[in-house]
Amino acid sequence: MNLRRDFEDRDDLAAYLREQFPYAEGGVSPFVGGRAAAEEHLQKFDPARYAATRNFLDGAVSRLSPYIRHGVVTLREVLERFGGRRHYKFVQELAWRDYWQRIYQEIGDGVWEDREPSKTGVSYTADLPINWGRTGLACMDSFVEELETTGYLHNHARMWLAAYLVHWRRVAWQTGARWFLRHLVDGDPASNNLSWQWVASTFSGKPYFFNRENLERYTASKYCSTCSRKQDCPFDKSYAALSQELFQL
Amino acid sequence: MKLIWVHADCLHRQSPAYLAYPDSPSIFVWDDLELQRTGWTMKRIAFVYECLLDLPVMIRRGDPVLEVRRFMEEQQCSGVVTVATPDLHLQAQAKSLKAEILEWEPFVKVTGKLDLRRFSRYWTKVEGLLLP
Repeated sequence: MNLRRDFEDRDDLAAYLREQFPYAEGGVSPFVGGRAAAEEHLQKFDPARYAATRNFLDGAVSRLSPYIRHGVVTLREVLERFGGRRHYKFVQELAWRDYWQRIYQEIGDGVWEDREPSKTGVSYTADLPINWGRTGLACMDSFVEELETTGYLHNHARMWLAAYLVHWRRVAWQTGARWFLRHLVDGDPASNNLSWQWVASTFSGKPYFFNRENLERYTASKYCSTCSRKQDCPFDKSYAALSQELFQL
Repeated sequence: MKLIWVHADCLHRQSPAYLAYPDSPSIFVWDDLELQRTGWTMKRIAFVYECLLDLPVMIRRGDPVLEVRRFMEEQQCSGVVTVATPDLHLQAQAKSLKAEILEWEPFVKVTGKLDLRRFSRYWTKVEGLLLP
């Protein structure tokens, strides 16, 4: 059967897709597919501000990843548009994607297996926590909701969320990676799984983790100020204290 | 005439397949079994569907290999062409279809084998090529 190509608007498309794919959960993403939408993101992107602001949740990131992931725009096109030494950090981030893809081409489904032994000394459970998304931690619950609602998270939020799930909740990185892939509009097994492995320390020299000071700095304290657990924050410690608490090194 | 098989790793109007075969018909097939296996939510399905609406492509649902073969017969095509992907599931389908595989120009052209054990080793090799 040929599927429809003409729709009155996005609501019409969404209603049709719910009929066609009744097993697919949730609603549509704020990210609109197609080249015109990708061009809008290309036009809006300010590479001069990227390096200094990219780690902040409101930083000047490109938000091109869904379009690159699905080949609507190629890495090469983005490079040709925003390349050059003055955009060093952005070009390096494009190169990270190329790097992950080259590994994927070599190892295929091996991206689901530990690339190296874990450096944490900890064992992990296979299931998402029962209270996942309802932890009372304003930052983590908000990231979960944003991911599940929009299909997108800022990269720094992905790293914090992955670190929280793996190191604080001791859930296997594969579980988190699979959950991300279901929801991310830009999810692909290479960038996604290998980044989870980087956090988990199965593809890096040490585990990635963070503390409250780091999270507050890059979020302008927007979560901590209203968090019901601000007096009971599991991240409110020095890196040395957290390392001792989280890992058995 | 060849049939262009479009998959979700390459939704580009100027893809190597569209450029090489500008007059060929094209098809995209939603793979129900694969969608249910991966658990893609409506967010991704709608996004990809909107990308497809930009392309001059027939959109169907079902088993991609069977649907592509059926459309080949309907269009009286002699073979299938598609764009390279690292996805093993898509690669297997392309193999079943005996598809001609076309490659994009790489992000960075490197001579010799790259050391991919760490990004720093890869970057050492490609930095000068990307940022001359």
